[in-house]
Amino acid sequence: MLVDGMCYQSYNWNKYRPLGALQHVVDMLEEYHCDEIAIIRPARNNDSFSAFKHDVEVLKHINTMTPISFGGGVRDSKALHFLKDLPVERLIFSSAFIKQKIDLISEATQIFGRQAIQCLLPCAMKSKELQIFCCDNASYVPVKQLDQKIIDEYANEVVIYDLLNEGEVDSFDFSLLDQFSFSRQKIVVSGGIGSNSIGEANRQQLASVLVDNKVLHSEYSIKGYKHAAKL
Amino acid sequence: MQQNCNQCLYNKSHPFGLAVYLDGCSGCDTHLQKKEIDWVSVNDALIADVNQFKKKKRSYDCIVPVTGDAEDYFVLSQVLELGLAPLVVSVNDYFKNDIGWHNLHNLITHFDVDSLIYNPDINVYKELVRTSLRKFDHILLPFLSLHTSFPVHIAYERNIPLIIWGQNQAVEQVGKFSHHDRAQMSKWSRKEHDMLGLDMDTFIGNGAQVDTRSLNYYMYPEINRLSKRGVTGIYLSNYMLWDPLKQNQASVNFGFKPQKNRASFDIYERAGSSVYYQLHDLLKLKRVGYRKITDHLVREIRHGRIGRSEAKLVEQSYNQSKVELRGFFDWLNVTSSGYEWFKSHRLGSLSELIVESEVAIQSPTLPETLSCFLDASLEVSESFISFEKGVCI
Repeated sequence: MLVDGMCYQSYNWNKYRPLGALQHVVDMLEEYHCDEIAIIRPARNNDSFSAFKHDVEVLKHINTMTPISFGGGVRDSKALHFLKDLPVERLIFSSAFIKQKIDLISEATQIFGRQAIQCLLPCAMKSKELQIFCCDNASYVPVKQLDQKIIDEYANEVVIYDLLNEGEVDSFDFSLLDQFSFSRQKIVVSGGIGSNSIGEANRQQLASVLVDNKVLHSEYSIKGYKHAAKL
Repeated sequence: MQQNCNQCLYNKSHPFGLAVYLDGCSGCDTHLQKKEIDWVSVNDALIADVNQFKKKKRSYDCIVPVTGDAEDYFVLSQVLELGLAPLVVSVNDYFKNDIGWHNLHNLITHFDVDSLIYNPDINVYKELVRTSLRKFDHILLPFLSLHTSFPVHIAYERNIPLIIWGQNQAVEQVGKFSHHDRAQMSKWSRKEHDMLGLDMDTFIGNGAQVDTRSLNYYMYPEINRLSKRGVTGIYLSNYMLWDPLKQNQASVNFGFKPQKNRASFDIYERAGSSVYYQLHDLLKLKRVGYRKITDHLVREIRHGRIGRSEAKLVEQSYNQSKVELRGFFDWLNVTSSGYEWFKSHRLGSLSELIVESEVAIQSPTLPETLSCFLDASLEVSESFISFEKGVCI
């Protein structure tokens, strides 16, 4: 997570812990042979364009060979055009998909290409119903209000993000996937990812996993995860 | 995000980073976990973890890096209680006083363990200290660089894959990780927390007059090589209710000698160093805006031994404590004019804290809940002793 130009870890979608300078983190992930780095601004309804610009400036100066995906706070055309020169391979949209901002996503598709668009859906079971957190409004919407066809049409990959297990040890809730109609090959899972959940993702033939906090908690975590994925 | 924690004395500018919440901070929040965790079952996990490393035709089960600090006594006692055969590894920082040498050698003899003490090339070491001071206002970077990499080299070279450290400072101070994460030693953590975000190339730059061939042990070994032998470093503070003051007081029972301290009430931590509460403390104030006393008070606020408002008064009082620098500059072979230049040009804003000979200050009154942990302490007889036999048998 990128907050005020610095990296943080997020736990259970409600608590941050400081991680350090973005370049140091990226350097080490590269040395650990991480395949791709997702940098996400946890933007809420109080996000501002100046805060967005500040974080993007930090991102602009990142020096790495590892592919980067970026998201958080890309809410209008102005923000989108600000990202043109960034060293990123993919763009992550969340609220734009939930609120069906088709114009914005179409524009992003034209600028960056369809394969660069990812949809991130922060999910949590609440009152026995799956809810999706809309960051733009800082509120939950029931999954049934989500237009999955539009997401399927515009997003190259869909990240199912388990909020309640974020930062926890190996506890991603795979039952969340039952609520979505996307092809398994299009789904990326995140939130509480560990070796067992990587094994399960492999068995279910998901596109990939996005490991949340754990990669920097020990020296050989990525090697272990790759082993779990039989890579 | 807010800037200051309303429970302790830290703010967002802490060098490790800090997340400040409406009620406390990431450090205070992580400390609360200590009261919720079932430490008995965590201890079982520790036993299971270390059992994987127990002797497989090896002389030693683990490496324990030490400096002779009070914490090392606690760590070593726990390691032996776990039934492990440790090799104690130490790096000479050349800053020890008579108390420091006693504490190091007494540690080794009291626990009757094998040890390996590395004395780095003094000329290279001094050049690196000079560079570190000039470029980064820090005099311990060369030592920290060795202290955090030499034991890892030894672990690799001697095929002793487990290294046991005491506390994970980043967890204890700012709650960088949850206790449940059980974060381990890593190259990233070393760079981020011990080396100010520097690697050796940046550290040396084009200023230091040293041959890079002399720096092997200053550099962290290649991860690929370590991976092949599975070298792993764990922190005991992830596995037990970590309470430094209480633990350190108990080290006196093993023959550890506390040192009188004019810059903090803590007579145990870094006792035996000629620089830690002197120039190092002053440079810490210059770099990060607070002195070591703040770390100690935050720790004790969290352990409930002092209130926040009372701690602020104690902090103010200790912040006035004076430091004596001349001994360090003599050790570094700096001329009198060089010393005066440094004081006026690099420490000008802190000049009122510098004295030419140590002066006693009136230590503030501490609450009984805190002072009851402080035993009798010793005055230093001799500082900057490069080599010494600290115990007589």
